[in-house]
Amino acid sequence: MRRLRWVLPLVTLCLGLPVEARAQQLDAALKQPYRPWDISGGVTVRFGERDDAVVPAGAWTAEVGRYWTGHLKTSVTVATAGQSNYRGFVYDPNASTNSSSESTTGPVALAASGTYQFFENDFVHPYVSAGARFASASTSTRVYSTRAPYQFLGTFNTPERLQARPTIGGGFKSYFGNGRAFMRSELVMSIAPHGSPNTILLFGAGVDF
Amino acid sequence: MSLRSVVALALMFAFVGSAARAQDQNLWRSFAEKLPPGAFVVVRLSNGSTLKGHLVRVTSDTITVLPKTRLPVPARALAFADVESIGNPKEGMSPGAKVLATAGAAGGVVFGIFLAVVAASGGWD
Repeated sequence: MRRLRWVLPLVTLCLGLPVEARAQQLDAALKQPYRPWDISGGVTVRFGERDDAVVPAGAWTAEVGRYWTGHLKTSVTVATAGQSNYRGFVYDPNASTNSSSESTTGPVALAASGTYQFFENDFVHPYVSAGARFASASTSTRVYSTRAPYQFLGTFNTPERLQARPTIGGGFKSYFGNGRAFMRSELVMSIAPHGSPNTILLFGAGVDF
Repeated sequence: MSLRSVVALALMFAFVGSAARAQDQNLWRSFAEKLPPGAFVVVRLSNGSTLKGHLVRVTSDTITVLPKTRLPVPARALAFADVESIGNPKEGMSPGAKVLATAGAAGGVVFGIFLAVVAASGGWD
């Protein structure tokens, strides 16, 4: 009777082991290759409450990415910028002046990001990414007197200053039948210094190599 | 219930289970044999994974499938003992083509609406 106590687990083990071993063999055979580089271009549209010196309302982008594994990628993006954003009108009762300021961004913005891509060697890869966008912007302030003869007092420029916005987002890489060319759709959230988030929709196409 | 009965029951279930599996194997083998080489198949395995690919060869014990992957990988021989089911669905458009078609259709609709608005407002002038 005591010997029989060992029979049941033994039978279960013997029935279960071959299945487990076969599953392990199949998993081992699933080591997937990957192409180390990708390049893509696209268009971005920003949705948000406020204008942003770093993230324009619309831009063209070009990105180069390097895969370090089948899942991990780092990439650098160049985007068009050069937008001018009106930053408001300020009345100073002590100085009896009105001033309006406008920030102007340099022609190019840059971004760097790290990406984790789900699945391996598949035709659709969802991914999540995090990084930062950079652009240099200067501010020009025009000052007017609020006393007669209400004259224009002058323009004061601040030098160009590099600004950064942290970004986090995710999207999909959807490949064509050749397994090399892909369409890309991505939704990114960037946080401006005043705390208000901007949502950026990217749509583009590219190729792995 | 004595331990002896438990063992007997376990063995009986194991026997019935293996008989059913053998029947399934024969079923899927005969199904696979009727498919032409190169047919698109979706093979579900007993370990829960799924393999999509094109049929290469069918033997008495195995089905060989060339996985449908972006980058080519070696064909895989799968034992019928591991096969849960085999499907032969129609191979659809690539995901990239689907996205492009959807974006094109959406762009077309937006452009159509834009043209309709311009026309309704009396043109460009």
